[in-house]
Amino acid sequence: MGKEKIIGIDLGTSNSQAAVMLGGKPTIIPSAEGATVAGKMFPSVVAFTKEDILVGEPAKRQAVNNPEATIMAAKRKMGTDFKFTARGKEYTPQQISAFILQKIKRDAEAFLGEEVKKAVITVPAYFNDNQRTATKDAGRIAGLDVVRLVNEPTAAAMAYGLDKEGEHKVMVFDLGGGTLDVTIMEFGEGTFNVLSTSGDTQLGGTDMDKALIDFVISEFQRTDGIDLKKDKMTSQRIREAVEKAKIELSTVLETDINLPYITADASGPKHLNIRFTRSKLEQLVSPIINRCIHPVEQALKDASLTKNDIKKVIMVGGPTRMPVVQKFVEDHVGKKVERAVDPMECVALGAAIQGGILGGEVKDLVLLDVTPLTLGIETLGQVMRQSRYTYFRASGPLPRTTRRLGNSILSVCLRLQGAFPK
Amino acid sequence: MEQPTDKRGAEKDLAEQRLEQLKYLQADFDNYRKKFDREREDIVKFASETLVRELLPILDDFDGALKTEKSKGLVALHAKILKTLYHAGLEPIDALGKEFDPHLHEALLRDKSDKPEGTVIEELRKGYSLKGKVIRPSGVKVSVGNKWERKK
Repeated sequence: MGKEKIIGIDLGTSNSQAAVMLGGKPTIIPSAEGATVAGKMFPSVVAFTKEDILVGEPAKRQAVNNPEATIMAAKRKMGTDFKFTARGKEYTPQQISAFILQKIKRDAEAFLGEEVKKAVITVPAYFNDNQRTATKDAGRIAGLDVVRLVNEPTAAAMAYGLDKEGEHKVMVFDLGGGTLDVTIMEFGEGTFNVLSTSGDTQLGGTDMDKALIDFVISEFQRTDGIDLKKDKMTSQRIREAVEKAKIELSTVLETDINLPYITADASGPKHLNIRFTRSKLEQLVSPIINRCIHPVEQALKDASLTKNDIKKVIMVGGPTRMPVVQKFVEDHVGKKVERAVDPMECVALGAAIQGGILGGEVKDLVLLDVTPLTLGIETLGQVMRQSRYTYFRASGPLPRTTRRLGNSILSVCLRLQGAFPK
Repeated sequence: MEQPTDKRGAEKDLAEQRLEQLKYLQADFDNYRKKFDREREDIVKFASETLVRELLPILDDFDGALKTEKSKGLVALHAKILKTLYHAGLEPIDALGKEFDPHLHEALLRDKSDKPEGTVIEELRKGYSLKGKVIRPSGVKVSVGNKWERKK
C-alpha cells in the first residue's frame, strides 16, 4: 500500500460530500445510501432516535416524525456557545458536525478499502477564527486529523485549476438551496486572497422550486377550480414532476407536466397537463434571481473593483445549473461563466486536490491558505491597529514566520501553521 | 570531493521520489481494480435502475387512477406493468401498519391515532426497492399515539 490518503470534505449547511484523489484525479466518494435527488451529496442532518443515531438521508426522512431530536444546519451555529438538546442530552455544534464527519469517514473507508485518518475540510470564506477552530474540533472528535481548512471559494477555484494560471481576479458565485455567497478573490504568489465576500442567507434554489410549484398549483386552480395544496400525496407528485421539468428545461425549450388522475371531484377524475416553456420558467424565477444583483454589486464595491477587473467567474451550487442563472451572471459581470466542473461537486473536488497536494501525491502545485484575520499583539497603551504591532495582515498567505525586534524587554516570534525559521 | 557526493545525493533523492511515485501508483492501481470489480458488479445488477426509476411516477399515476376509477381495463393494465417490473427485481415496500423505519419510509405527516406511537397509519406514496436496494422510500403518515398534544 502506498501512502495514506487525505480526503477532501465539503461540510455544507444543508448537504455534505467528500472526494479523494484516485489515479491523479479527484473523485467523489459516494454516500453509502446511494445517489439521491441532490446527486451524490447527503443531507447534513443528524437525528437521535430511541435506539440509534441517524445521519444523512435516513435522518432527514424521519425529521417530520421526530422534530425534537432531529438537528439540521448545525453549521450555522459553529463557533458559538449554542447547545443542541436532543433526548435530554446536550450537544455542541462541533459534536453534531462530528457525527456527519464520522459518516463521511466510514463511507470513505468503505470506498477506498483502507483506513482514513486525515482530511481537508472546507469552510466559508467569511468564517472567523472561532468558527474555524470549531470545525477543526469537529474533525478531531470524529477521529480525523484536519490537516488544513480551505475556503470554499478557494477549493472551487482549485477544482478549475485556476491556481495554475497567472495573477488574476476571480468571482465565485455560490447559489445553494438556501443561501447565496459571492466571493471575490485575487490569485497571486501562489495564494488566493479573499478581497470581499457578500451574500444573502435567505436566497436559494428552494425559493425557485416553490415559485414553480405554486405556478402549477395556481394554473390547475384556474383551469379546474380545485386546490391541490391540501393533499400531501398530490403535492409530492407535483414536486417531483416540477423538479423533472426544471432539469429538462435546462436542455430543451419546452416540456409538459403531465399528471393524469391527479385528483377527482363529483364529475370524475381530473388530469393535470400543463405546457411548460423555458421562458415561463425564467419569468417565474426572475424575481428571485434579481435579488442576486445586490450581493454581486456589493462584493465588487467592497473589493473596490469593477466587473472589468474580474477575469474568471466560477459557479457553485445546484441552482447555477439553470441556464437562466448562468445568463444572469454573464449579463451582470460581462464574462462567460466557467462550467467545466459540476457546480455541486467542485468544492469537494477542490478540497481533494488540496488533500493530494498536502499528502505529496500532487506535485507542481502551490500550497494555498491565508489567515482570515489580522493577527498581532496588543500591549498596554498600544493598539493593534497601529501597523508596527500587527504581525500578520488579514488574507496574508500561510504558512509563514515573522519576527520583529525593537522592544527592549520583549522579542516575539510568531509562527503560523508549522512555519519554521529557515 | 564535494561534487560526486552532491551528485549521488541528487540521484538518491530522485530514486526516492520515483519510489514514492511508484508506491502511489501501486496503491492507486489496487484501488482502481477493486473499484472496477465493484462497479462492474453494480452495473450488471442495477443496469435497469435508471429506467425503473423513470417509471415510478407512472406507477404513482396508476395509484392515483385506481383511487377514482376502478375499471377492469385499468386494473389489468396496472397488474401487467407491475408484473413486468417485478420480474426485473422491483418490489413494493411494506409500510401500512408497520413500525416506521427511516431506512424504508419517509415521514411526510404525523398524527394522533389509536395505533401505538411510531406505527405507519397511512401510505401516501408507495415505496419500492430494486433487488434489495431501496430506490424510493414509502411516503407515510406516522402515529404519535393518542395522548399527543400539538406543540405551538
